[in-house]
Amino acid sequence: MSAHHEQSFISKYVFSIDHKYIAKQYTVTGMIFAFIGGLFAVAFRTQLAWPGTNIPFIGVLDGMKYNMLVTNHAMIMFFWAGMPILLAGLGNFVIPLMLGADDMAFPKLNMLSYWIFFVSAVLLILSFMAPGGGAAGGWTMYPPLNAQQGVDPDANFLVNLWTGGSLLILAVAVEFASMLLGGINFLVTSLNMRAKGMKLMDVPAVVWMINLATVDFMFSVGPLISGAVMLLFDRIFNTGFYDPARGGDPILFQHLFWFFGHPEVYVVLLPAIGIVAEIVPTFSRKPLFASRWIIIMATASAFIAFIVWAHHQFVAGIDPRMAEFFSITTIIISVPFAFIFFAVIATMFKGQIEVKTPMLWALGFLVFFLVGGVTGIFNGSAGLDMYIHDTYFVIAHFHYTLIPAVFFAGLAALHFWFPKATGRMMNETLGKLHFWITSIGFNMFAFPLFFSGLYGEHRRIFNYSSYQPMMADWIINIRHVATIGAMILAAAQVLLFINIILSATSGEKAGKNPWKCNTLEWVADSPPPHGNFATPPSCYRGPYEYSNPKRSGSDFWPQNEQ
Amino acid sequence: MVSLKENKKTTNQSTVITNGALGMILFVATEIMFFSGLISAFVVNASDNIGAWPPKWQPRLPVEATAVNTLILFASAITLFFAIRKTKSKTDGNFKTSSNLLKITMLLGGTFVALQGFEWVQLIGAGLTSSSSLFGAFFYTIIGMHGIHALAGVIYLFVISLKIIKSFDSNIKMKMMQTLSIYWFFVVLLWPVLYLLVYVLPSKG
Amino acid sequence: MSFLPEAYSSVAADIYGVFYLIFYIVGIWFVVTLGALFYGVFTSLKKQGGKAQYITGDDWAQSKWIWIPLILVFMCDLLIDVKTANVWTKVEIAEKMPQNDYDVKIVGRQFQWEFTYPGPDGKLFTEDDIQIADGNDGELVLPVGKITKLHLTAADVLHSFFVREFGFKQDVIPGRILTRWVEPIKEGRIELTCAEICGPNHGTMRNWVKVVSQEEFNSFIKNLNSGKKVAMATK
Repeated sequence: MSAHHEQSFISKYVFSIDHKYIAKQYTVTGMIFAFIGGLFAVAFRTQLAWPGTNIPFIGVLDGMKYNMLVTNHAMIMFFWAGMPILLAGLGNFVIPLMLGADDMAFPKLNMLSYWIFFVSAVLLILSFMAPGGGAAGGWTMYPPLNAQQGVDPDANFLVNLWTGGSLLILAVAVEFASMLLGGINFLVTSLNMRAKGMKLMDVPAVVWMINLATVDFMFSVGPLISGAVMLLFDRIFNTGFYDPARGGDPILFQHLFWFFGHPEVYVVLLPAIGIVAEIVPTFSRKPLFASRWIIIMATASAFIAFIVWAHHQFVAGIDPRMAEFFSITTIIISVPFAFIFFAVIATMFKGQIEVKTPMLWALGFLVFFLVGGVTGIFNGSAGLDMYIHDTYFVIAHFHYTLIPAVFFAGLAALHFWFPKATGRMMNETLGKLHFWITSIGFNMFAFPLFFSGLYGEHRRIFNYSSYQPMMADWIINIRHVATIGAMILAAAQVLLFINIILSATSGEKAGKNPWKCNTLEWVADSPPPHGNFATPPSCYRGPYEYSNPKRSGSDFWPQNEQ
Repeated sequence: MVSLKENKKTTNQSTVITNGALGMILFVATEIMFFSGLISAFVVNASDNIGAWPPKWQPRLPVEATAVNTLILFASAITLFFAIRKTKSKTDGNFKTSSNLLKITMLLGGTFVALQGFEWVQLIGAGLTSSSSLFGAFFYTIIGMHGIHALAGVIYLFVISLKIIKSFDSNIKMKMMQTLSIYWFFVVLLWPVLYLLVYVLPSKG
Repeated sequence: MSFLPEAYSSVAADIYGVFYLIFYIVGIWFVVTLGALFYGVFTSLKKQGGKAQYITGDDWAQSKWIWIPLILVFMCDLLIDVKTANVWTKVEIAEKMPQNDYDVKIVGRQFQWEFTYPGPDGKLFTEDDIQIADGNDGELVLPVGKITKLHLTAADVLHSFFVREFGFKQDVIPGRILTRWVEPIKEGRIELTCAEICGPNHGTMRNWVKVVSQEEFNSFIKNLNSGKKVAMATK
């Protein structure tokens, strides 16, 4: 296309406005942060298993350092790894390609949103260098603790801004501004720039899910930012919004936080389900079972997500009657997800399943997410949550939802779209080895925590020696196993790194459509040039017409072929 | 304000609403959620502190003076309305009149922000600060957040008023003004809600 | 399933009951779903010259295979909702709270628990209330078989009152007093911990609950009122 002329180095690799390149920037940044967050986890798990160990670069963990590591582990994994990879990275890559568009609706805004994200990452790193170290008040940032820790009420506002807690709040707010601009781009592109003939129901599930996630994010993030602004002002302007001594209300922050916090879970979960809904039909050579209903159910869950938030606050001192309402909505939200889950399983029946690496990761998602899904019922039930809240049971539960979503589905997506992004296939043997070692490490780490959680082991304790029941032999063994599992999980990622480098440089050439897939991104060259398609594709049918008897000669029917 | 530069290529679908306008509507929607968060926090705290909202020893807010300021902001919406009408009726070939109307809108908006700054200086002198009482904290946060949006809008108005007198496709100019107007109408329409909530209602109790 | 701690309160068994109900319901679903998943994969692996069936799942004959299980899931959800709401109501709803025999005020403070008993007038929140010892020296003493109302609050930041063997926890909030009740059913000395991150030494914020017989409790209160509080409190 003549409009897309040769670009200079800076405009191609740094301030790129090409959605595919921005997607890579997000993904690589996210993976670097995921690795940092993972190392944090290994560090504090080492302290838990062998208290008093001298950890390289950090030293022996005391209560403060331990809290700092757990706080930032969660922050990084959620906001600087999960969201940039699954929402920004994946969304930027697949949305224009799958819709048959040449780029996003606002390419410059897209570039801007990445660089705002980059600024937020710099702020995050700066927060560790502030006097007193990084934020250490828990990732939920509950006041009054987080309005006070590290703050000197008599100092001027710059001194209080230059503290770990304040910088982290600022970093989060900036990160959200970036994701917000990205989200506007996603929704406008998806509504206005679909290929000719592409009806809303012809849009692939993954694009649907990313957009639903975006809607969840955009309509929930405002209250959180307002809560975060008030918290920041409490720290730097001594406003006292959350200070009970001055008439403030600390529980208010929890509502503002969780009104966002719960939809945020679906922000990473829905794209993950979308990825699996693309991969399973492709590798089973069958249409996605009841695909229309999957979209409807996902939409329903995206809306119910707004009325379940207080299930994080059952024991926080909210009105007990309110808790009963939220317990019911929380348990009911299992229904749409159960539907999607059953439908994806039904898709595989009587297919011709080929377990290539992307499919293996997708199956891993299904199996492990099922554990996380069913254990959610325990937490959502208010009558039981008052016991298991803030124990390792909860930790095990949400690692069984978030690791399958971000890690397993994210890697399924990476292996699936890597040929499109680089033009080369990933190594199957390395990929499968990586899968199995990761799965072993993950389950060793997360599964035993259900048991110590049930026994009442509570969170965020840097040394359990104060607690007699928590020093029983079997609990200590669980800590050892979990820590070794976490180490295996982290070490296994070296294989991923090797695989990416090897495959990107010397992998087998992919061709346009290595997986024989129907969606429009496979019509473009691999990798697609700036501007994506030589001629804009048209769309004639839905994305899941595999093994259609009306089509002779091949078991797939690309959306752009008549 | 972020400039929403559109993808050059025409969109594939016959779209009901332009990219810029749609993007701005979504942006405004999230802004409404942001202010809803602040407003609900304000309401929760007001009902927790009945009788001390604002506390007796704190200065009262200038309800009448701000009423005048409110009218100034409303006037800016009217001039913007006429600027848009002018472009739609296509009687303003070179967008000269529209640009001037935008500049008047900008001046009115700027006056609103300046008067508010003046009011803040007086209130701080009288002892209402962000840390003197919870009411003060809310006042400066909510009104300040709106003020930042108004200030951004003033800059946005200025940029567009300069752009539309350059020569390029008048359809694009109209789209730019449409997008701008969504933002500025949001700033104007949000104000009476905040005025009522923060100025008028507490002064009654 | 002996992973849950021994029950020391009258409601712990109910709370554990919710766990077992969910465990069995969810356990069955887990096994069935996982079985279907593996069955689906292993019976549908790619065969030479095989052909996948074109099943869209759009008509009822096909989609009933997931709609019917879904309705069953929904019914199980309702069953769990009812059971959990019953237990929640029993423990948390103020109007359902049984008449109490004793009162005690519990304050969380960085990084210790403090307990205040009514003074000689037998009423809490009066001039003569007695706070036992300082810091973590004094333990919470409760009589077995009697209902004690817990008045929970915090002095600085959020904490959470958590006694594993009682089966529940409650966040404590500065500036607010929340009431919960407990009826210990077994004598013994059990841990009281903080379950909400409250600062650098959150990990050491531990105290003890001592459930004693009625006679011991009476003499504890008597000692307390005559100023000999330390004798009982520190062992």
